[in-house]
Order: sequence, then structure tokens, then C-alpha cells
Amino acid sequence: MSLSETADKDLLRRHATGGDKEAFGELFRRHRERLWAVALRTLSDPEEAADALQDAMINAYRSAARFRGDSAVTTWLHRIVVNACLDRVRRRQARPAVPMSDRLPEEATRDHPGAHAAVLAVREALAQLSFEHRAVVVYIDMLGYPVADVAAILEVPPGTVKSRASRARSQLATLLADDGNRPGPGDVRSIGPDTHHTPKGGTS
Amino acid sequence: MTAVPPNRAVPPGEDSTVSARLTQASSQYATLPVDVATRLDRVLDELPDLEPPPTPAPIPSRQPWWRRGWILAAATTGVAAVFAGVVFFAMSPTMLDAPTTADAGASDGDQGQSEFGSTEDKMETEDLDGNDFGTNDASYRVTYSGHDYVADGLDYALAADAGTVTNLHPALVPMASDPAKLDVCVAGAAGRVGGTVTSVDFGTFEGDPTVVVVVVDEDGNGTIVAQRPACADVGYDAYHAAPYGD
Repeated sequence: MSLSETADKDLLRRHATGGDKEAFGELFRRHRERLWAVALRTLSDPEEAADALQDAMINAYRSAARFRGDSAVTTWLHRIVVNACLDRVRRRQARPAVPMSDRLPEEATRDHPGAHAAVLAVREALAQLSFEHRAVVVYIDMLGYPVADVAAILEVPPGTVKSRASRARSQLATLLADDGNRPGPGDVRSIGPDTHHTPKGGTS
Repeated sequence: MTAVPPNRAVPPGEDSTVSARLTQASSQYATLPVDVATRLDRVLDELPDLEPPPTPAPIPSRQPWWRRGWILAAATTGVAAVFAGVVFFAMSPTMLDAPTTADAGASDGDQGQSEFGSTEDKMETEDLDGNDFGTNDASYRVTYSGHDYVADGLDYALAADAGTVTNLHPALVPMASDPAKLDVCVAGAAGRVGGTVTSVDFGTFEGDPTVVVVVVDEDGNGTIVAQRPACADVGYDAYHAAPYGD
């Protein structure tokens, strides 16, 4: 069986027990696009997101043997990325650098200037949320994750996820009120759940 | 019309408008750049081969707070206990000025009598620990101060010298009596903020039951996390977390 056909848990096990770096590489490449999506939306800055993703990859590589198998491998990876992003946020707070408004997401400028302004407004509003609230709406509203999956990733009860999401949306509604709080122009393409993502208790 | 991702209920009213706006904005973010992907591949190639996890050092058994302090002072415990004591004393200079055992009963006013044991009761702490609280072999220090922490200035009061509360909030009893449950809570805090747990204290956070966990990273930076009782089940469920020892 080729690595591409091997389940997530088996890839991680091959790396943790046999030092199979290729297996870990296959595992991370399989999910890194989605992990990047989390990091970029949470941190807004592409350089910070790249650094956080690298940190997360290294942490996952080194801590593979501590994976207990009580969650999906993807849940575990997302948890590591979220923690890496949180570390970045804390470092940024400790050592303020270039203001976020000076750094734009790549491809933020599309054919519609209104779309760019709308994205910028959302990004700036997200930046004003606490990390815990921001992470919840990134996962649920921006990436389409179910509440249960977000609860598993963030290691909080589903009720806490819902209350944080509600509070975050309430705060964002206020922050975005100046823009009329309406979607920008253009098609909406949401990123659905990862095709390799398995629900909790799955066999990957 | 905004496309709704599968398996996601549309929240009502204003929430749905904000949700739609976030979904729309999300479509504008870039996918993983090629240069970042290349960088990740290069870093992975350069990582050393994974080694088997080291055999953990023996963990010293937990002692009552007054005896633990004596042992630390005598520098006869293991490296982990010594490190925890050094970090603890470095981060809590006020402890040096904390009331002594003889002063504990008189120094806290009306609150002292209800929350902290009297001088005479202190010698019974060891019996109380054995009967009411579970044995914890973890390397972190555990106290039961009953201190009421607040978000504004979340400071680890380290009320070990102030005494041990004898009537824990019922929500905290499971963690006080079952080390495994406490470990879940402690690991949850450490896993979230990153670092090594040095101290744990049972108390309240603005009136609500809490287990306060002090985590120190490898740079010596501390974070104090006030965990809700549910942390015993879910790992991380905090009222508040803040840097400690700035």
C-alpha cells in the first residue's frame, strides 16, 4: 500500500514508532492546506501564518509519540496549529511590530474593490476579538466546521463553542456596523470540511 | 445568495448576516503559497530522525505543603521538585512576607476563620490531606488556599502559608480527591499555554470554583490559568489566563 493510500493514524504510527519521516511528510502534506487556512485566517498575516504552520509542523513531528489516539489525527494537528497561532499572538502582543493594517492577506485585491474593502473590514474586526473568540468563528463561519469538531479541536465543551461564537458574532456585528453589515459582491466559495477529515471515533 | 457550508446550522437574525460576511471574506484568502510549501518540505527534510521518548525521571511523591517547603529548603528532592520550588520562589517574592503559621489565623480578618485553618488545626493538615484529598504523585505543587482570584491582576497568591481550606467547593472535590482528574485539568492548561506546570491551587475565581494552574515555559515566562471545574473532563476550560511574573 502506498503512503497516499495509508490512513492518517497509520502514517502517524509509522513515524512515531519507526521514524518514518516520509510517512509524516505524507500526513502533513495531506492536511497542510487546511491547516494553512486556519493559521492565515486566525493571524491574518501570511508571514506569521507561515511561521506558525512551520512551528506546528515541527511540534507535531516531535510529539507524534504522545498522540494517544483518543481523537482523529486531524483534530490533533489542528490543536497543535491553534496553539502555535496562539503563541504567535502572544509574542506579537509582547513585541508589537508592524501594525496589522499595513499587512494585507495575499490576493485580498480582487476585481472588485468593494470585496477588498469588505475583506479588510472583516480582518480588522477579527483582530479585535480575543483569540478564543476569533478561533471559533474562523472554524465555524469561515471554514465550515461543525461545532462538535471545533469543540474537540479547542478542547472545550460544545456549549462553550456556541457561546463564544454567539458572542464573537455579536461583537463583529458591532464592529462591522459601519459597513452596513452585508456581504460583499462576488461569488461566495466556502471551504468545506477536509476530505480526509474523519469524525471522532473514526478509523483514520 | 450565500452558500451555506454543509453540516452547519444557519444562526438566526444578525448572527446569520455576520456569518455570511465571514464566509464571503474567507473566500478571498490565499491558498498555501508555493514558497511556503517548499519551505515546509525543506524544514521537514532537515529535521533529525525521531528518537524514542526518554524514560521519565522518578517523580517525587507529594508532601503536605509545610513539609514540602522544608524538603525544598533542604534541597533533598529531585531536580523537578527543586526546579518547581526555584521558579515558584522566584515568581512569588511576596511569599517571603506572607504570614507565618502562627500569624495565619489572625491575619485574614473575617475571611480567615471561615477559609483557613487555625494554628491548632495546622498540625492536622496531614491527616486531612490523607483522608479527604487524593494522593498526587505529580511533580507540581498542589495547594488548597481557597483564595478568590480576580481577572484584574490574576496573581498567584500562593496561599500555602495562609493555610488550607477544609471545605472545598463541591465542584472541586472530584479533582481534589482523584489525581487523574486533576491531571486532565493540569495537562489541559499546560497544553494550551505551553510549558511545565509548577503549581496548582484550589480556590475561586471571582466567586466561582476554580483550579488555578501556573505554567512556566522554557524561557521562564509564566502563565496563570484559572480553570473551570469542567477542565477535569475536557482538559482546557478557563475563566481567564494571564501572564504571570511580569
